Parts: sequence; structure tokens; C-alpha cells
Amino acid sequence: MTSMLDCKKIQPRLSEYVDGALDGDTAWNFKLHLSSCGVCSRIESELRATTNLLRSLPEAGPSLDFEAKLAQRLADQVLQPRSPSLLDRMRDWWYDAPYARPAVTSGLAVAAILPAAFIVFGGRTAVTATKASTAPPAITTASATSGDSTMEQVWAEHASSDPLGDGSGLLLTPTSLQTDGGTSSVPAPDSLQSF
Amino acid sequence: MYLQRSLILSRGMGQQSDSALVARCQKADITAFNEIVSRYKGKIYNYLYRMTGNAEDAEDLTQEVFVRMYTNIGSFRAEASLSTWLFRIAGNLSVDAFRRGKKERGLSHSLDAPVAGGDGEEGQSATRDVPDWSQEPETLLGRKELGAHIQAALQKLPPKLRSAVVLHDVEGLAYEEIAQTERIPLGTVKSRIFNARVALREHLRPYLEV
Repeated sequence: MTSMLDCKKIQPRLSEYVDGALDGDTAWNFKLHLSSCGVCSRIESELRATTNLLRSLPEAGPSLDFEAKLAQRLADQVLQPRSPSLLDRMRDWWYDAPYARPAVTSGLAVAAILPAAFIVFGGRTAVTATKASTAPPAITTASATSGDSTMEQVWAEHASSDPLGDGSGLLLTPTSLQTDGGTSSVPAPDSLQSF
Repeated sequence: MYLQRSLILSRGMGQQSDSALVARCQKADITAFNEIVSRYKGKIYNYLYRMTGNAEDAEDLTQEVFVRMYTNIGSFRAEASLSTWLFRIAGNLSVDAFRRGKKERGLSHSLDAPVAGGDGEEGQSATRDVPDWSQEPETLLGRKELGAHIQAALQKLPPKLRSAVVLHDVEGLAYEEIAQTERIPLGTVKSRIFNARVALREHLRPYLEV
């Protein structure tokens, strides 16, 4: 009748059961379980006793001259409540105008995205335009072709030599990085031009 | 009899709601402020005493709660109740005090310690308002000892668990009110109270009457 699953489900909620915070059906099921499970029943009794101890604590009160001391403290301050700041007013408006929230949120989102979009796309267009206007087209094509052929040769050698012997074609390994004092043994793309 | 009833009635009729008092306080009405202090000083002090375990710190922090309430009353909104707001200020202050290491000075100033007038601080401890003690000396001693043990057990809890269980079991706040005060989900409130009680059960086992 009583299973471990029941206990696992019930024990974390025994505190709510003690407080009478469970709905009728759930509380009834708990009661049934507790009547047949000694472990859960004991925990429930102990939690209830603990709660009763806390509730039996006497109410402590401040000193009898609490108000006098408070008045003294306040006398040193400006005895006018602070007027709402701009932030407070904005917050008030935000709570008082729920219909305006979608429009404001959308506006803020657009305002945040626009500068970013300008930097990304506007910046790229400007760079392309600069390159196109400064580089001589004929020479660029020739050097690019020569660079491509060099690159192809290097990669062909790399593929055929299989330096690691693992058939992976990878040059960078943790070992190679470590033995080279933290720098890669693979030449950087720029230095490939000197091969 | 008639006079007594009319006094009770007039007192009841004169009892303003918290929101009305706050509205008056926002117009710099010091009488309304005093009424709020009178209404909540005991609850806030009791909460802070159970949080700090120290009467002196609890007194200072309770003063600070009302100072902050007064200076910030202009920005108080009615989404939360006054009670929730005050307990939130008190909770934040107690956490700050905990972080500063101001608390955890033992129970030397505890309300549960023997009340002896004149321990060097102008007999302050003698003026503590500690109600509800039984008149019988043996019961008084037993309750004091038990109270000290319960307070010591509370001090062993992490502040978050302590706050939840004190608000619920000592101050009598509902789960929903604690969720608002602590700004945490309802499920978190329940689990904190459960975990706190489980931990307290271990510390207080010798005193549990099962």
C-alpha cells in the first residue's frame, strides 16, 4: 500500500500539510499515507512540533523609549518626505499605462538595434567602397591568382605528407602547441606567401 | 459597560487603514507616521530580533526601517501592502547587517538572557518590553532556556531560510505575502520553509514533544 514513491512525493510537502495549505483531496491522500507509513508519520509529527515551538516564542518588543529615540533620529533629517524622482515618475507612468508598454518596448528595441545595424552593415559597405576605390584591379587579380596557386600547392603537400600519421589531416594538436612554447607549428596564412 | 463599549467602538472607528495612513504620510503628516510606527514597531522589531538574535541590533535596525520608510514614503506605491514593504526593508537591512558581520555576537544581549538592569548601557536591558512570561519562576526559567535554544537554532540557519520561517511561523505571514516580501516564487517560499523546519528539527530534537 505504501510505496517509496509515495514517500518521496509526500515528504517535501509535509510542511504544507502541517500548515493546512493543501487542498482537500491532496490533504486526504496525505492523511491516508501517513496512517500507514511510520517514517512519514514521524517526520510529520516532528515538523509539527518544530512549528509549534516557533509559534510559542514570546513576542519581543523594542525599548520603551523607542519612539523618543526615533524622533531624535528624524530630527536630524529633513522632515519632509522625499518628492518622487524622475525615475519614480517614469516607473509610475509605466505601471499606470499598460496600453503604452508594447509601443514603448518596440521603440526601445528599434532604438537599440538601429545603431548596431548601422555599425555592422554600414561599416561593411564603407570598407568595400574604400577597397574598390583604392586597389588597382589588374595587379590585384594577378597577385591573387599567384597567391591562390601557392596556397593550393601548400595544401596539396600537406594532404599528401600526412605529418601526424593519423590520417586526420590536422596539423594543430595540443602536443604541437605545447612543444612550440605555446605557439602553433603551422605557419600563419600570411607567412605561407613566403613558401 | 456602556462606556467601555463606546471606547472600543470609537477606537475601532478611529482605526484608519494602512493605505489611508500612507496617503497622509505622503503629505508629510507626522501624526500618520507616528500611527504607522506604533502599529508596526512590535512586528518589525520581533522579526529583526529573530533574524539578528541581538536586541541591540534589532532596535537599531527597526529604527532604520522607519527612517527609511519616512524618507522614501514618496516613492511607495500601493502594489504591495505597507506591511510587505516594511518587512522587505527590514529583511534587506538584516541581510546587510549579516554581511557586515555586525550580527552573530552571541546571545549576550539576548532578550532570553536574564534581565539585569545596568549592564553598562544605562540599564537598557531592564526597559525591554518582554510580555507573556508566566509568573511561575520555574516555568519562567524553563521558557527562557527554551527560547534561547530556539533562537540559537534559528541563528544556525542561512539568512534566507531563517527569514522565510520567521515570517511564516513567528510573524504569521501567509506564503503569498512572503513571496511578495522576498520577491521570490511561491514554490521557493514553500521549499525554504520546509528546509528551515527540517534543519530546526535537527537542532531542537531534544525539545520536541512528539
